[in-house]
Amino acid sequence: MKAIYKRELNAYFKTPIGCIFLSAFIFFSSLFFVLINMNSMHTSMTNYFSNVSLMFVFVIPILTMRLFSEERKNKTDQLLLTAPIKVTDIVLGKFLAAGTVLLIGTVITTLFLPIMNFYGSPDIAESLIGYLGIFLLGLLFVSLGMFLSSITESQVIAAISTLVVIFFLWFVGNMNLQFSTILTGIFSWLGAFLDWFMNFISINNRLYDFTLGTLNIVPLFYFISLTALFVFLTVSVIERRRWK
Amino acid sequence: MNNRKTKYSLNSKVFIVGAVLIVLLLNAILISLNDKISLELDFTKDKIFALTTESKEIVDKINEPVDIIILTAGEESETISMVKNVLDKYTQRSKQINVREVDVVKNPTEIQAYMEDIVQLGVGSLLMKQGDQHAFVDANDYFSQDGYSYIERSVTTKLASFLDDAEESTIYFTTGHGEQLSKNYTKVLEMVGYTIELLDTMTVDFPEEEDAIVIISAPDVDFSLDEINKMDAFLDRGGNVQIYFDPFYGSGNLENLQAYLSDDWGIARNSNVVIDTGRMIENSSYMFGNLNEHEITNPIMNINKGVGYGPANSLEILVERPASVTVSPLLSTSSSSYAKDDVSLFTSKESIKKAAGDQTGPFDVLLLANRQVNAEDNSLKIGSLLVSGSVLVFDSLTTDTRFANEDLMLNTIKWMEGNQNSITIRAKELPGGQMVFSKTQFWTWFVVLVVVIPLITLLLGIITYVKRRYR
Repeated sequence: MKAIYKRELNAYFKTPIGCIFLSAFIFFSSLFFVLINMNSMHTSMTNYFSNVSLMFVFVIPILTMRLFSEERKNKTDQLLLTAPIKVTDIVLGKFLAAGTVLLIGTVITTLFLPIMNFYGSPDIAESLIGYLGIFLLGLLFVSLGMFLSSITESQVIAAISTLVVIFFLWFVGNMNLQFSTILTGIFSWLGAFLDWFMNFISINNRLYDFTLGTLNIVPLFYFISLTALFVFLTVSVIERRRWK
Repeated sequence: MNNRKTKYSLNSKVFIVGAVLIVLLLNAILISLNDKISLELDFTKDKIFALTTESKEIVDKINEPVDIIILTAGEESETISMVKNVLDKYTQRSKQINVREVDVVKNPTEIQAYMEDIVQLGVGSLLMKQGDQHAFVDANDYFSQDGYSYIERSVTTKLASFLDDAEESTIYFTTGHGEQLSKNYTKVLEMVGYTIELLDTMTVDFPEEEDAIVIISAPDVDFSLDEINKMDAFLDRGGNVQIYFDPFYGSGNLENLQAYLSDDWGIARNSNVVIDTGRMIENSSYMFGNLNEHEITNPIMNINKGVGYGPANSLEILVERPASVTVSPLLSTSSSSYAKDDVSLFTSKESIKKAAGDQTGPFDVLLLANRQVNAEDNSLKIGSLLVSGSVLVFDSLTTDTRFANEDLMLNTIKWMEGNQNSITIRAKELPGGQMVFSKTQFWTWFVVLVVVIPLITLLLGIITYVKRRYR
């Protein structure tokens, strides 16, 4: 796994992709920080974090589109699949490398804390919980993007499908659909289930606790379990291909 | 081989479906568990999402179902999410409390009966119902302008009003003497569940209730001897009176009232204005006072906030006073303070400077006196009298969350009532605070953060790529 991790991390910085991702990440984060916090001269980062989650819709596909589809397109996946290495290690190596690039971007944006500390008194603990939430959300999107990259050999399709799915997950929380008021009578149970499900998959609802400075086990488990699920699904897809 | 492939394919599908179901199930269990118990650690400075002990005590007393309806209108807002988070703590604490949302636009039928009141409220307000009783918490009152949350206090106060032993508490403000009725003071009192009633002491008697509280706020016209006698009888019955003087009102024409205070209570109001430049808050006429030890003030000393006062008359505890009267100073000025006899000098930085002939502090600006009286039925009655040299102690400063004046005000009321029926839940500070920087600094950071750092990162990537390509 270590070898795959190192190879992938190197690949990010030997091609422009890693720097394009970091540049876009820092640009949008800084823009939100300046427009939201510095413009209002306020140290609460709740709105900033909510906007960063929207930014992920556009920047995470850059990070994940090449993970498996590039290997398939260049036929280098055959080498990987026949190598004496576990599929789990291949997937985890790639996932952790993408996660590391995301972490680098997140850590760079914590520069905002000393800036706010210089001009005011932000609550550092509260803000760090927000950063944790944003990082976990990013990891979930990375695992989702990696999964989508594993089922196609086109980087463009991988990127667009990741963007569409992440945007749907982001958007569904803002729609505030109330199926229970639409589906009544014998379908009322379906309405209630759909409401629950929409609320369940809405990432904004999960992220909100973190952005307020509270650490709740429910969203924490939500992010970790779904990330693990997409990693597992990717392993299954690759494993299946190896068997074929 | 084919058999193995089919077997593997089937196993793989079973594993995938199993994994998805396990993840969904575990999340569903945690979500339902979170409805019952708190699975949250609150890292906010003022623990805005955790209930105070006072709220928990009230919630534990609720033994009949209470429906709390969040009145929404379309999209979820930050305010609604915050309210929902606070209300979660109530539902986790008590099975009797149920919270749900009703969209007033899409689904108005359920709340039709209350629509007249609801249209006056902000989006995210609460309709609280228990049996035939109902109450509203207006979303416009959730937060103060200087970043404090009143959500918990408002919700708990309304819940307390549903309790069986809840009593309607009234605080009376006298009228007819040019009194300056403090809007901030009355707003806070109403927020914590009191009813405000005006009392024209010239035409009606003081209240009959023993623990009633009557407030005289900055009178400009004197009380008649008949009114003084009524007040004295009220205090003899165990009543409570709070008198707020103001250097700019009633100076020299409150003879009856001041004579009553000095003769019967041993308290003199001096015709001066106290100045404490060393403890003055910049760009304001507010000064920080020193709290003296007392049951009322001791809890406030643990709060990391001071009690402020505005232009004030100094008060004096007279040596010669009735034996049945005890007087305690609650708030005093510092030893560097001084007092000017000419009140009109309190206008500019220059005119308030210390001059020869000014009296030297410290001075008392808030006094509490008690008087014991044996009633006709041989029971002991204790009347309480609070005298303040500054109306601003409980006026503008009450809702200014930089100060602990609200705590002092509510503790005083609570103490006078004998610790009953009053909830003192502090407003909680919202996340974040203000930053101070110049326009130049703003644009410098804009260029550094939005242009320079992303550009350097991008250039590094391009250079690495070009180097590798043409190596």
